[in-house]
Amino acid sequence: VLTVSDSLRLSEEEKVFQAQPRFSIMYLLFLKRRVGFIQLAQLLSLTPGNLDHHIRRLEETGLVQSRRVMSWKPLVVVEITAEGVEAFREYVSKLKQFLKDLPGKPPREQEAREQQESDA
Amino acid sequence: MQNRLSINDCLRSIGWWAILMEELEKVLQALNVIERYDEYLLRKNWGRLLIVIGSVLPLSALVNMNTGYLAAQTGSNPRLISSLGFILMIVLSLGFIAYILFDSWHIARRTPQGESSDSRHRPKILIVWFAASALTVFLVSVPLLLISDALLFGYAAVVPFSAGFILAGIILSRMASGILRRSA
Repeated sequence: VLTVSDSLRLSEEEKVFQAQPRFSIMYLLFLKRRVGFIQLAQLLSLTPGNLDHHIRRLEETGLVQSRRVMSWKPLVVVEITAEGVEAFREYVSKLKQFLKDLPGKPPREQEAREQQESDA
Repeated sequence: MQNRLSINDCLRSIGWWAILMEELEKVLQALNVIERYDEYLLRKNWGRLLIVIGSVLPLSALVNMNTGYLAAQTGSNPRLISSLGFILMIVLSLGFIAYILFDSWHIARRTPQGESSDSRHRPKILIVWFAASALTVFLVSVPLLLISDALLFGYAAVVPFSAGFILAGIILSRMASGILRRSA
């Protein structure tokens, strides 16, 4: 049976964010770099306890870190680490490669030839 | 014969496509989260802008209305106090407006093109802006008809202006929080 991990040859770090909430957290943090804990819980419709569990899993692998910041009220922000950025970038490139190697897709040369024929 | 796919190839293809669908579903859900977060940031920015306008402009007007009193208290020139009030208004309001516009442009640039999941987003912002402006004009024009004293008129105009904009800003911020809680 083919699994995502086998097909994409995911590393241990990458396997951690295969669960949907953790994947959404990583994708959001990859783009925004840091997000408030409360906003994250509301966005993902998770309870604080549930989100804390997911954040801890990501923290254990060094992909993200959370810290307290002093604003007009105390806030906890979750930030992506340099390793997290690298791991997610690596995952995206593996996904791109997977799409390129997908069976049943006509080869690029054939696609180009078909395009030329239709243009003619 | 060579072009025919074996059963193993078929099964392998189906397996790959199933994985692709699984990954696609995951990416789509994550994109929805990102889109909602961008909407939240945009609304929050507009709300903050309304609150700042509602605070800085009336504050500057109050400083200008009380230049004589403030000059006497601080022992400085009334013209200097008036200039400081003006500079305060220009620097804070224009600086913040520029920052908000830049930040909003930065967020909008990253938002994928096409129909937003919340197509009522812009009309809602326009409605809030219109309501705030209409309420402010109404509340400012009513005392104009009743008050002949210039200083009293100034206070009567500044307070509703400030209240109108701050209220609109708070409403927009509340609307922004609602975006976060909206499920996919």
